[in-house]
Amino acid sequence: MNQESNELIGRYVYHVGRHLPPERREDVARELVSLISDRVDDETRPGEASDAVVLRVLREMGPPSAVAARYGYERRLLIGTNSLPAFFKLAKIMPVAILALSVLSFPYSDRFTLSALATWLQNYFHSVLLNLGVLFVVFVVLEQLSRTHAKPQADFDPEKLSAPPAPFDGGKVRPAVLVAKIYATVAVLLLFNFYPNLVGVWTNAGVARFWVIPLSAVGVHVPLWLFNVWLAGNILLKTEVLRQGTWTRESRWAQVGLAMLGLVVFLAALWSSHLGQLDTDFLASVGLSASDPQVAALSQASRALVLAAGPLVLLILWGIAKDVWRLLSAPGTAA
Amino acid sequence: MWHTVQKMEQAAAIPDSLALELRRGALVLAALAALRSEQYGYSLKKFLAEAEIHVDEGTLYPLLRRLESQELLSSRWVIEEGRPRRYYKITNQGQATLTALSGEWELLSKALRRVLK
Repeated sequence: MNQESNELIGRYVYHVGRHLPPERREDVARELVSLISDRVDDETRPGEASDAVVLRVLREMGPPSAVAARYGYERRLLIGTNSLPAFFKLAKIMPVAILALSVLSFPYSDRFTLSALATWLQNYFHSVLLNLGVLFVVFVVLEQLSRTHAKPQADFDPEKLSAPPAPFDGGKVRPAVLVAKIYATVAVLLLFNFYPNLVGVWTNAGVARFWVIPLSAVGVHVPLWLFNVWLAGNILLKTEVLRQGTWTRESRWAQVGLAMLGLVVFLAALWSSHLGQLDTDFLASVGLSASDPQVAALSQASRALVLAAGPLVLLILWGIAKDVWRLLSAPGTAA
Repeated sequence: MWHTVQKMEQAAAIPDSLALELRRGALVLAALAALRSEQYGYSLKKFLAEAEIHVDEGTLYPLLRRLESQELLSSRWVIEEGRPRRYYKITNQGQATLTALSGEWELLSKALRRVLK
């Protein structure tokens, strides 16, 4: 068989695989390639071009979705194999996303009691079940609609199948580094949400010494929920990369998105820290006056933050540029 | 001649789903019997076709997988003529099932012959 024939078979097998659960794809693909090649060899008459035989065999086998369905994964399911991976992915992400949002309403104030914790847990599980139910119904409805509007088999033309995406070198995955980053991010999430007073910087003002707490009234102003969304996003992304064992285009773009969100969080923090100039309205709002020695200390801390921000912003921008360059220069990106 | 045409018309009148259902049960028996000697999917298809049991790949390959998951068949990949081929063979459990199914088939076909008379 020539290169065109092999390429056509590869396209067909790739599209069959898209309708199968990921763990079955490789094995079924290998078997289908073997079967199609045997059939083509067997049915090619002397002088006949193998491309024509491959086309005939693929047309006889039918659309990739029909071949995948015969492997028995589709008939038993209310949600088709085409949308099943997306459903499971969302179903896995949803409880974590709801948990991240629920953390905002966690009763960690002075009024914390065991019964308040139980109520919080109950609300959390209710939210998860309700949202999973809604997600399931949405996918079942979409599946039924897509089956109703499915194209008849006569329309199938193997030559019109799109080529599989070129392999993407997303960079090496170092599990130990990823696990360490996940633990560190979880630790930051817990610290800022449950023990915010432990996080801060010491600053001197003459003989006085102050502990400046970020995300507090006198520290850097960033909404806690935004900070939590950013951290939870990082945890989810790194967990997914660890599970897949590779960086895909999607996960690299997600990384870019999260880095940009991180930049927004960081710049918002800088902006709300009054850029080293603590204004009088802000001071009045926290019960201080301009002549107060604490003000000098806070102002110094704020200036130090601004000075440190330059290299950090550059570092984040460098990370974003590296990821975007990797994505745009990867083969098959322009297709 | 007329008899043949009438027979063909009758065969054509059988709904596809009923004919498929009838063949499906028998196909398990045929595949298990044929795989007493090791074969790969396409050679099995041809072997069955020579015995007048015509089955398309879309039915045969998933069936082989199902029988393997039920531990009635075992399989191994062999590189042959420059390409990988999956060879299937009946297992001991499959052999016992084949014996039981063959007995069942004999009883059923005798009973059906009596009913169809």
